[in-house]
Amino acid sequence: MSPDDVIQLSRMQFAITALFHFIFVPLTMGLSFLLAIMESVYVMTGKQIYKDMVKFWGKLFAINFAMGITTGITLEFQFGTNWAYYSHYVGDVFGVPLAIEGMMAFFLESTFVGLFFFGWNRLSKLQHLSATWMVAIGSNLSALWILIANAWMQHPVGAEFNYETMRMELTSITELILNPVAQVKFIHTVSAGYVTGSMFVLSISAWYMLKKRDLAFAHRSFAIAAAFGLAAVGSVIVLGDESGYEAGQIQKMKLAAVEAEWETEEAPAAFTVFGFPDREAQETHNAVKVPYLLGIIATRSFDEEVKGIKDLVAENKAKIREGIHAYRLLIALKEGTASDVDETSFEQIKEHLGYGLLLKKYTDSVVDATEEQIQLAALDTVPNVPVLFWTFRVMVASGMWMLLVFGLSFIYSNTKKHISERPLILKLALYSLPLPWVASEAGWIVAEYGRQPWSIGGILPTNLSTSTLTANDLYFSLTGLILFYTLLFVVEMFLMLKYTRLGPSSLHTGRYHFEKLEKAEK
Amino acid sequence: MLELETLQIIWWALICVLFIAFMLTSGFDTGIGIILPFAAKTDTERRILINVLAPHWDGNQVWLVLAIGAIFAAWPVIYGTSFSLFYFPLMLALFCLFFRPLGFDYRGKIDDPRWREFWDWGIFTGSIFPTFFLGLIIGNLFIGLPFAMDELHRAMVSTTFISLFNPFAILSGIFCTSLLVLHGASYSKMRTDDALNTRLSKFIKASSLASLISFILMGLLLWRVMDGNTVNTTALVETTKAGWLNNYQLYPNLAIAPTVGILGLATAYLFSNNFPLLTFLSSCIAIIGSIVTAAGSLFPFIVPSSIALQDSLTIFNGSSSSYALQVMSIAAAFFIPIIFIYTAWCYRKLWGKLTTRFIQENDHSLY
Repeated sequence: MSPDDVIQLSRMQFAITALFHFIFVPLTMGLSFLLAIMESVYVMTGKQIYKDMVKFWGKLFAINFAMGITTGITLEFQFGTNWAYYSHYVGDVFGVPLAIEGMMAFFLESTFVGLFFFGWNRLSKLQHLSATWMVAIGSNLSALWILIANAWMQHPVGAEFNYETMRMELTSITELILNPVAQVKFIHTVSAGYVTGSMFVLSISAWYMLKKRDLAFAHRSFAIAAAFGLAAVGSVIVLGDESGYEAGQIQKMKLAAVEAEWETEEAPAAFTVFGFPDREAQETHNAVKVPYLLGIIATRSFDEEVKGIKDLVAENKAKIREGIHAYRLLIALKEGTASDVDETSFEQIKEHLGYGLLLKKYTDSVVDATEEQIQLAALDTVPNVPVLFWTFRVMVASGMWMLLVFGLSFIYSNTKKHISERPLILKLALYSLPLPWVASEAGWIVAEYGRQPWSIGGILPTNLSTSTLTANDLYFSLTGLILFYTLLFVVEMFLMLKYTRLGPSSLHTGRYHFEKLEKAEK
Repeated sequence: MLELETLQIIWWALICVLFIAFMLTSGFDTGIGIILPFAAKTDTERRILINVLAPHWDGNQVWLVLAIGAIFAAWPVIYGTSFSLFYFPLMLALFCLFFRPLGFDYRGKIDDPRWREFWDWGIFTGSIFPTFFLGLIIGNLFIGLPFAMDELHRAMVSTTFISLFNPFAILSGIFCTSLLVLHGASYSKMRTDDALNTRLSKFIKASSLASLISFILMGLLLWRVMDGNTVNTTALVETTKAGWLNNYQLYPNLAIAPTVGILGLATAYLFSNNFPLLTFLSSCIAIIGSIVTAAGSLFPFIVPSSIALQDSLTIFNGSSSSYALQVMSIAAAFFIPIIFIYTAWCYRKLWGKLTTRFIQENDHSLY
């Protein structure tokens, strides 16, 4: 068992690197698809302006893409460097989708992105278009496999513990792929990526129109982004709701924490819109509730109840006791003192072994845990309620707001009066630019922070998952990462702003704003 | 289906293939990154070198990502143990690597000498240090590392950064670096002209000689000085003098690998001036030969322990379950040939010499 500070620092490092990586990923997923759509329009209509759009948004895509690659390598290293026991314990299952992701998706994306940038004069129109689509498909398939791996952390199916190797082993790849959590998460996350890409194009195009620059270019970009964004944000919200239903079935503790539902309510449960969850008192102050709504979201019914935190803790306490028993049998099996009967009963209760491992935080000798330690471990199964309650609401509110923005943008980009003459809508679109990132990062926190205290739900506690490093190792790496990430982010934003300001004039075609100005001055 | 042991050997071979593919492809762009500030004098020359690799570095790098991913999935405990053992060199390599993708992509986006100079050195740093550390890490596998397994099969590691700098591992780092310089210089020699092209010959000569000397020195150390691990008849791990050369007695054909490696390096040295294609092929052969030599000498070990010999990780006690390996074998058999096909197509489409004129004509769309 690692010292506490190593665990805390490892978690902090993972959160920082994952959240930072996730600034760039959704934009890559969304923009790659928008580029493919724009280029398809170019190939179908043959209009130069669409090609210019692909090239210009492609430049911004490149600036973002390079950061995605850079920060992605960190994550691949990190499972091994900082989460060695995790890698050993679940690599047999978790590693498989990651390896397939590399073969099937990441390669596709990374090889064709070279052709996308440098193949304009070397490929036929259709060949180039296919390369662009391959980038979009590759980045989206990549998300599929990563989310299959992530979904398994939330809801581990298709795998079993093997005491001889002391790890989880894959038993069914189909179950792993068809994990219901994976399906929902995949669509929710890629749609969020499309929303991010669309908002990016929408806001920047709105800014050009507010500045009265490159109107034709900006208007076309705006219209494509509004249509694609509206469809995507709808899909995010529907699948987000589906996530709620899925959580009601599978991740009951996470749902209860997100809703700050301390007590099990009578069916159908009310939804708490607003309030102040209090962890000490285990209640929510000043709660504003909508009757029936939670029951409908979580169970799709009026008569099923949604379990509250206190009852779930009591259930987990029973699981911990089972876990202690499983642990005792495991030690006997390892030492060779177990009978055949012991082996059979271990096989029957080993699913709760993870709950026994929760006690490792309080005692090295799990089998001798005291009543008080069991109580503490059971309380640990409750994630941080106020944080989840609020980040969830931030995410949902951002989503709803964006639905409004895309809706209005879509309607008004198709009316008689030109959109560039509706400054209010344009400003609305411009100032909503940060929202997709706010929502994505909040979503990551709900999903991953809400998974605590587990790294693999019900199977492996986060506390046990780390490498046996020292706190100094982590201070070194954390300092380096924060330092370099800050530096690189500043550089990235500098370039992004520079090229955004230049706009399509950066293509040096002579057709756009700044170059026309230059010509006029001469 | 296949026996577990067969699958374990298949995955050992496959991970070797992935590493070879990584060194053959990403190796040349890394090598170019190392020689960039020295071989190319003017901004245009540097842009020529960078644009030689521009469309490919990202795809090339995926071979490394895939190799690491395959180690994670096929050898989970080896992945976790070795990556935490090598925490410092890996973190430092990572910090340096940050500057490579950004260097390639951002360098040309602002026309300012200081900006470009900064990224040139960024690309250099991001190329030379990770390469050296990779060599250092592989070298240390021959020395053995301080770790032992506890009752939950958790690797307790205790390693210091300084202890990784032993003569053998340093030689291995030098070998790895000079080998990739050779690879980068010989690849770019095929695709450049004029003064830059002439200058590259010097880099080919120096790097092939340095690789050759360090390779032979490492062989001498393994033979005369160092101990190595072997598995005895009762399946216990033993340390014996020159133990890492034991496999050459068991499988005499393995001697082909170091021989080919040496021949490749010698050929590259001798024909560095006038036969770019031959030089490049020799460099490829040297890479294949040396990786097979390293893997073949260690076999079946991957990460030997210096403090708990029996906990040493091999391809047999460190691999995933039979089912997981089967699933991935099917995926690999399907996808890897496809990867080869589209990668080859991509290279073919973008082949050709890069000239000063080409850079000037495409000033705003190139790196």
